[in-house]
Amino acid sequence: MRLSHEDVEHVAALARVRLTPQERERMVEVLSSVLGHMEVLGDEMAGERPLSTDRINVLARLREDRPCPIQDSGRLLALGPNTRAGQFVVPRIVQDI
Amino acid sequence: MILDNGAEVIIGFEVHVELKTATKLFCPCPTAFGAAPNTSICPVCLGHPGVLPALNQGAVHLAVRAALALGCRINLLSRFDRKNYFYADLPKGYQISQFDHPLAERGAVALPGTSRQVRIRRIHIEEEAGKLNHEGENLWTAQSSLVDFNRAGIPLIEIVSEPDMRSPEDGRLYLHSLIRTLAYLDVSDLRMEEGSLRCDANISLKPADFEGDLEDIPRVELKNLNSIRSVVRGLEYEIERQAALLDAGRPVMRETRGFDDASGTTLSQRSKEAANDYRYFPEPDLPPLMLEAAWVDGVRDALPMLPDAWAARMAEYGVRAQDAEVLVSDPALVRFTDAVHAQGAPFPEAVSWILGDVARLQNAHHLPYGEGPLTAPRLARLLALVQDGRLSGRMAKEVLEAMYDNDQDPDVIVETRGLRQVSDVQALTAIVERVIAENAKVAEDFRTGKEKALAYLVGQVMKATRGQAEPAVANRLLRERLTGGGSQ
Ligand SMILES: [Zn+2]
Repeated sequence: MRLSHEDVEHVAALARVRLTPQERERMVEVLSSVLGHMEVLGDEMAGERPLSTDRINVLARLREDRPCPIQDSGRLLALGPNTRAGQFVVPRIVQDI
Repeated sequence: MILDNGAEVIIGFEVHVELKTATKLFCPCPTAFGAAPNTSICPVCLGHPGVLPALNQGAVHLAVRAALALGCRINLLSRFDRKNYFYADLPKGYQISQFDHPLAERGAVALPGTSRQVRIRRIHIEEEAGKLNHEGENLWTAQSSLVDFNRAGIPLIEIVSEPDMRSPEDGRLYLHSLIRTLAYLDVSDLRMEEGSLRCDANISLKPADFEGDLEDIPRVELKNLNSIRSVVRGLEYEIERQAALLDAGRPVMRETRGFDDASGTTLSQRSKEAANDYRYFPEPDLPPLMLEAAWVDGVRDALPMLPDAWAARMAEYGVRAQDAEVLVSDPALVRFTDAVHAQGAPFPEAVSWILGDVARLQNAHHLPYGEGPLTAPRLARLLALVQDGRLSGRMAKEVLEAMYDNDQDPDVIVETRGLRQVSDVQALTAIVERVIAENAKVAEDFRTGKEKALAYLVGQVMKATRGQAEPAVANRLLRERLTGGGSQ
C-alpha cells in the first residue's frame, strides 16, 4: 500500500505531529513500508498465507488470572510531571474554540 | 415507531461490560473496586515504554461465556488491534481493542413480551480507560483534571447490536434482556450507575422516502446514559430533536451527543470521528488469539440455564407468566424456586409462597435467596406439611417466621409449639355438633337466614380447637349440619 502526501499530513495532524517537508517525504516511504508489513499480517489472518505458529497465542499459554501484589505505585506516581492527591494532574482537556 | 412525518426510528446499541476478573486484561494488577487512587497500577497499564502486554486467560474465558450465552458464533482466530486517539485517560495514546477480527459475531437477544429479536453484530474484547476527576464543576469549566489509572486496563467486552430497534421501548427491553442474561453468567457486576456497564445508543430517523443502506443515514451517538431510564429519556429527546430538524428541511449532523440528566436534553460533544481516523492497525505486541473448538464447546456445555429457558420451564409447570417474569429477573431467586421444586414442592404453590412471605422475610433480613435459615429443603418440607393438611396456611406462616428467628427445621417448630391442624373430619364433626348444641339460638338464627351467624359458630369451633381447625373445613361442616345436607 502506497500513502499519498495528503494521507501523511492527515495522520500527522491526528498524531499531533508537525512535519517539515523533508520529514514528510521520508514518512511517505517509512509508513508505506510499515503498512506493507500489515498487509502480510492481514493475509495471514485472511488465510491467504499460512500462519507462522510462533505468531499465535493459544489459551494455555496465556497469563493466568492471578493478581500480583502492587509494588512501587508511589514511585510510578512520582514519575508523573505533576501530581496531586495521589493522582496525575493533566491540563484542561477541552479546548475553547 | 413511525413518526407523524412518516420517518422510522432506527436504534442500535454499543454496550460496554467490565468483566469480573481478578486482574487487568494485560497485566497482573488487581481489579479490586474502591481502592485508593493509583494504587493498582504498573508500568504496563500506565503505558511505559518497553513493556509488553500479556493477555489474561480469565478474561478470554468470561468473554467467550458471555458471547455464547448471547448466541454468538466464536471466531476461533481473533486478533487485537490498536485504536489510536488522544485523551487524558488513555495512557498509551491507543486502546488495545479488536477491529476486523473480533472474538465473536452474529448473536441475538430476544425482546421479552414480543416475538422479535435484536441481532448482535459482534462482541470484542478491549481494555478500559482510566478515570478522570475534573477539578471544577465539570469537564467544560475545569482548568485541570486528575487521573486515576486503577481502572485503566480492566477487561471489557463491547457488545454491538444491529440497528434492529424501532422505539425507545425496544431499547429498554433489549437492555433489560441483555443485562438479565449476563446476570446469570456472573461475568460482571453490571452496575450502570458505577460504570461497570455502559451503554451508548446510535439513533437515526429514516425518512419515509429513503431507500438504500441504513449506514448512509447520519446517526447520532448518544453518550452519558447512566441508567435504563436515561437511555429511554435520551432517545425520546433525540427523536423529537431530529424530527424537528427533518420537518424544517435541515440536515441531521453525524455527531456524538451527551445526555444531560438534569435537563433531559442532549448536547453536542464533538463531531464523530470516522473509524479510519482511529488508524486501527494490528497490535504487534500480541499474537492473534487461537481458540480450540473443543474448548469452546466445553464452555458452552458449562453455561447455566438462561432466563428464556427458565421462563419456558416455569410456564410448563403452570406458573403464571407475570410471576415467571419476576422470578427470572433474579438468578438466585429462580434457582432457589427450582431447588424447592426439586425437593418435591409443586411449582405454583412454591412460587406463591416465595413471591409472598418468603420475599418479604428474606428482604427484611437482608438475605439473598438460598442464604440464611430458610433453605430450599426447609421450605419444601413446610409446604408438604400444608399440602398434607397438617398445618393451616396461618400456622405455616407462624412456622416460617419462627424459622428465621430460631433457625430450626419446620418439624421441630411444629413439635415444640404443639401446632397441629384438626382437619380430621370425624374429630371435627364431634366438635361442630357440640358447638351447635351449645349455641342453639345462634344456630336457629342461621337457619332462618342470618348468614352472619355462621361466622360466630366458626369462631366457636376455632376456639374449641385452640385455633387448630382449618376454618374452611369447619365452615363446610357447620353448613352441612345446619342445613341438613351432606351429613355422612
Ligand atoms: Zn497494571
